Amino acid sequence: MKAKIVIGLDGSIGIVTEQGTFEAGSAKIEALLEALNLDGLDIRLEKPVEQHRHDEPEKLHTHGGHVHSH
Amino acid sequence: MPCDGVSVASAKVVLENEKYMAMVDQATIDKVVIAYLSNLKFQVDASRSSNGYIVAYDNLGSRFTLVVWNGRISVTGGPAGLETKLAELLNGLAGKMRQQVIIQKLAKAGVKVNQNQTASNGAIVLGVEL
Repeated sequence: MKAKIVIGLDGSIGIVTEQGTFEAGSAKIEALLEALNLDGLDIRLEKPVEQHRHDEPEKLHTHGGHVHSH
Repeated sequence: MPCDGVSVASAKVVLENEKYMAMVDQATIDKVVIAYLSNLKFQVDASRSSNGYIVAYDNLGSRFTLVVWNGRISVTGGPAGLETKLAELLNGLAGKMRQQVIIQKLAKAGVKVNQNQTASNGAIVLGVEL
């Protein structure tokens, strides 16, 4: 599943899937964060995985290390 | 593959900078600090003093010393605000090191990176296959 990961200088990580269903994307993201946690990174999810809908996913961009979509 | 919208997650790695600064070797830290001082037209002694301090002279020729340990910097003498500026510089180094650690751990977790770009704010943007 294609996705974008944005890693900020402040330790922030934004993950956005670009295809597939929300359920599948959400599961992939949670599994990835869990794997990183198990590998020694102390990661805090800032809010639950959200679903964003729009027609042009390629218009994702970053603000301060986080990914936003419009 | 059908698409019913994207999944978005925002997370933060919660670890102090010192852990990442410990991964940066002293020679790299010295190089960054000395380059910064030289850029300000301050004269820097080529070698460290016997007690590990970096010795430098400001634009008026006044001597001041710096020491870096565990990712922290202490400046004795020297222009006002210099210590704060250098602390920001080291913070940036720690941030870059943390980005590299996260990328390594993503690879270890089986994430395949197809694209790797750096945004103007210093963030690394990866196009990946999860």
